[in-house]
Order: sequence, then C-alpha cells, then structure tokens
Amino acid sequence: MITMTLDLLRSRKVLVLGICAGLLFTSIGYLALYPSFDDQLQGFADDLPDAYKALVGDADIASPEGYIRGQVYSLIAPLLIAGAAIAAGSSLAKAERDQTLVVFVVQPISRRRLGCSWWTFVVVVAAIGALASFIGVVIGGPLAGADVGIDRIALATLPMLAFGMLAGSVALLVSALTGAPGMATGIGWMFILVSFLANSLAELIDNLSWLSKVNPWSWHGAGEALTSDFATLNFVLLLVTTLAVGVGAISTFERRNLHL
Amino acid sequence: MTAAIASSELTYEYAPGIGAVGLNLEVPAGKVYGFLGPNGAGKSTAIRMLISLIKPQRGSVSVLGLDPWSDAPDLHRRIGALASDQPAPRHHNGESFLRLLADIRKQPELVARGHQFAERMKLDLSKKGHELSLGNRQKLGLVTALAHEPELVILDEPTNGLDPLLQREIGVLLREIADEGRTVVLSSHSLHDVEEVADHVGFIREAKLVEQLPLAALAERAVRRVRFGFGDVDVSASDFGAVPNTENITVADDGEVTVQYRGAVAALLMRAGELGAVTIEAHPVELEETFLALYRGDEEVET
Repeated sequence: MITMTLDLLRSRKVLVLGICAGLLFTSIGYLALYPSFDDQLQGFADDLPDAYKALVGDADIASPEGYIRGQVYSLIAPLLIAGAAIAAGSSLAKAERDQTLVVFVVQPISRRRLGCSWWTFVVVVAAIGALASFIGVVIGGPLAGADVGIDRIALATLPMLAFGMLAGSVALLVSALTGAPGMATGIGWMFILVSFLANSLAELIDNLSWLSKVNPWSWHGAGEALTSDFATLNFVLLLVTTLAVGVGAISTFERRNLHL
Repeated sequence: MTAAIASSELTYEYAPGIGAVGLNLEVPAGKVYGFLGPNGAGKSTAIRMLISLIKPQRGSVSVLGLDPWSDAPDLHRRIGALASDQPAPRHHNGESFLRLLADIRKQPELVARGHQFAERMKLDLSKKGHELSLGNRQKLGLVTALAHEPELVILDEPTNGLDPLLQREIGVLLREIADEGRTVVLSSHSLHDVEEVADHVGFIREAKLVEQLPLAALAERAVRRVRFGFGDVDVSASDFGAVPNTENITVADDGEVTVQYRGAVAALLMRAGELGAVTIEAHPVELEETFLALYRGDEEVET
C-alpha cells in the first residue's frame, strides 16, 4: 500500500509542490502586508457589512490574529488544501479514464488495498498542504505582528487538514462511483462552495443558524483555535465524516465494474 | 487434460447481444489458446472477466482454479495480463515501472527478467510512457506481463502495433512459454496472428463462442482440393461419385479432374489410382478461408 501511495505522490509531485508553494507564499505574503495597513484596518473593519464578516468567519480582521483567521484560515488554507485533496481524489477517475489504472488492477493488490492507497494519497496531499499552511503562518504570523504560539497555530491548522481530507474524500467517492474525473472535481468543488455559502447564510440568517451545526465548513472553525478553545467536537465530526466518506469510496471502488 | 481456464455460461452484456454471452471456455493447461473473432465480437469483454476487470453478470469461471473476482490478488500473483490498447504509465520510464512492479510483487528478480525481454523485443526502457509509440507501449505491456514468469499469460491483441518481425518473435516467445508447461491465451481478429503458435483456437462471433477446437482439428475440418491428371484416359465426374466425403467434382477441357474432399484422403487416392491418374496436385489447406467462413457465420466451412 505504501509503495502505491508513494508512487502516486511521485507521479503527482508537480501538483503537490505547486499547492505547497502557493499556500506557503500566499500565506506569508498576505501576512507580511498586514503592518502596512493595520492602522487603517480598524475603521475599515467596523464599516464592513455583516455579509462580508460572515464570509471571513466573523473574525476581527483589525487584529493580527483576526487578520490571519480572516485571510488564511477562512479562505486561502481551506480552499487550497481542499483543492489539492480534490485533485488527488479525482486522479483515481482520471487514471480509469486514461486506462493507466489497468496496469495496477492486474497486479496482486486487492481493489480494497488499491482504494486505500488512493485514499492515503488524498490524506497525505491534504497533510502536505496543511503543513505548508502551518509553516506559512509560523513564518508570516510574526511578520503581521501576531503573538500566537506554534501550538495554537498547529491546533488551528488541524481542522483545515480534516476539512481538506473530507473534500478530497468526496472527490474520491465520486471517482469511485463514476470513473468520471470531471464530475469528481466538479462535485468536490461544489461541496466546498455550497458548504462555504451555507456557512455564511447561517451566520446571517437566524432561521438558518442550524446549518452551522451540520456544515463541514462551520466545523473547521476558520482557525478559531488561534484565539479561543480548540473545538474538539467539530474536529471529531470532520474526522468521522471523512472516515465514513472514505470507507464509502473504497467500498464502491471495490465493487464497481471499472471502465477498463 | 487439466483446464487452466474453464467457464460455464459466462456472460457480461453491455446491451442485448453486445459483450460476451454464455461462454463455455475450456483452455487446456500448458497450451497456447488463440481466442479469435471479429472486432467487437466480445473477445475483450471475455478477457476482462478473466483478469478481474469486470464481474460476470451470469455464469461462472475458474482461472487456475480461482475465481477471478473474489480471488483477484491471488490470481494476479500467478497470471500476467495485457489488456487491449493498454497504455504505459506516463510518469514512469520502463526501468522505473519495472522496479515499481518488482516492489508491488515483491519479486526483485523481475527487473532483470524484464530487461531480458526488453532486449529481445528491442525496447528502450529509458523512455517515459508518454514518449513511447503504440508499438513500444505494446512491448512494455508485454514485458510487464511476462517478467514475473506467470503460470498463465492472458494477452488481448498482443501483436497490435508491432512490426511483422516482432510479431514473429512474440510468437516464438509465447511458444517457448507453452513449451515450459505454462499456458498462454491470446486474442486476435486474425487467424494469421495465431496459427503459427496456437494449439487450440476458440472463435467468438456476435458475443457467442461458436467453435472451440484444436487447431489440427480445424485443419481436418477444412475442405481440401486436389487435382488429378489422367493423361490420355477419359475420366468423368461420375467416376468419383462413390468416393465418400467428396464434392464439387469438375473436369477441365484438358481432362484434369478437380475434387474437393473432407477428412481422410485415402479412398480418394485409391479411386484415382484405379482410374489411372498420372499426376496429382494438392492445394494447401487455407485455414484463413475456414476462419473467414466462421467469421461470416457460413453454414459450411470451406476452403
């Protein structure tokens, strides 16, 4: 299984390195800019409409920690980590469509192990992205003047990782169900978009506040562990959902007649 | 004779009559089995079931005593497979791909054997998958199907894209494998591809297996043609009327008599001798015609 996962990582190293570089430099770049306009940001933040505040996780973007949450943990990190994981998940369907999967299916590896290798690949890609994001905030945080310990940054990053794993698992499930890479990528991104919008609506509309309880975007908390307690329950919910979707993907891949 | 592959009513239909329906395959162990049929007849569908890519909808199949679907990893340890139009992995060159397969199969010696096959097929293992031509992709597929010395080799159109010299070399290679007691199944739409190497052939047409027999039996079944010269003796077609298994007897202006026959030739030769035949010209058996007749679904299989 490890052999296969390592081979998947090697074969997609451009994707992985690209996402890492993107996360690292975007995070550092955004945070390094903060001191140049932090004094103007207070008044600006007060005037922001509630809808925008909801989009950035209701973070107080006038403070360095809030700015990190609003810029990195509300947008850049979840989108890029999840995007990388979705690309990893949909690569199973791509391998089926271009027939390269056949050379692995006829090796003495069970479909279950092959599916597990792909899921591990999704998890590892999300982890590498989360690590890049973590390093970006560790380096960029002091540049923005934030006084946050590495442990808080790590705790804030963990739910990002779990959210990325979930988005990648959704793409893997669609890959396993359909063998259609376009559909796997599309539905993966649809999952993020719907989840993101539902989170914003739940913040804005009282009647829809229940959405935040069932919404994976709300569960990742947009880096709230930077400034408050780590939401263990939400993190566990993300992990359990990821596990359920991942097991579903592997089980589906094990049973389906492949288009090979 | 032990069967390496035995199936009963093996079926996978994409649509009514499309796919493979009710196949009762019997592939003898240690032989080369040519699986023949027109494009779209169902050869690849059958092979996909044999190598666990798709699960049969009906019927059963045993490959080396295992169920290809439920025992897939154990079966794949013992077989080498080449799917139809199998691509080469884009990110690997031949060398790194062999190493990966050696890791997966836990057979380090696979790499050295792969090199030997590659040398024999004149395949450059340093090129990446996306740099390979159709023929070279096919060669790499063959190398990776054979390098772990499987008990059973299942190849879907293995000579597709290969030049005639290499096609012949592949035939020799497959014959060597069978001579070692291992089994080879290869599909083709052309009898020419398999007649030099196969011991048995199976014909599939419109999703159904229409014939399955030793190649020698196919030759016996074929109608042969022989021409006798009688010098100055006048002979008529009716002189051969009592000879069994003869047909289409014609007498040319020069007195030569052409007779078509099936099966043993002894009775025909004896009668020709009695009539005073002085020359004999036998036409070679055209298996291709026999094959084409099966292709077309003719009632009579003739040369």
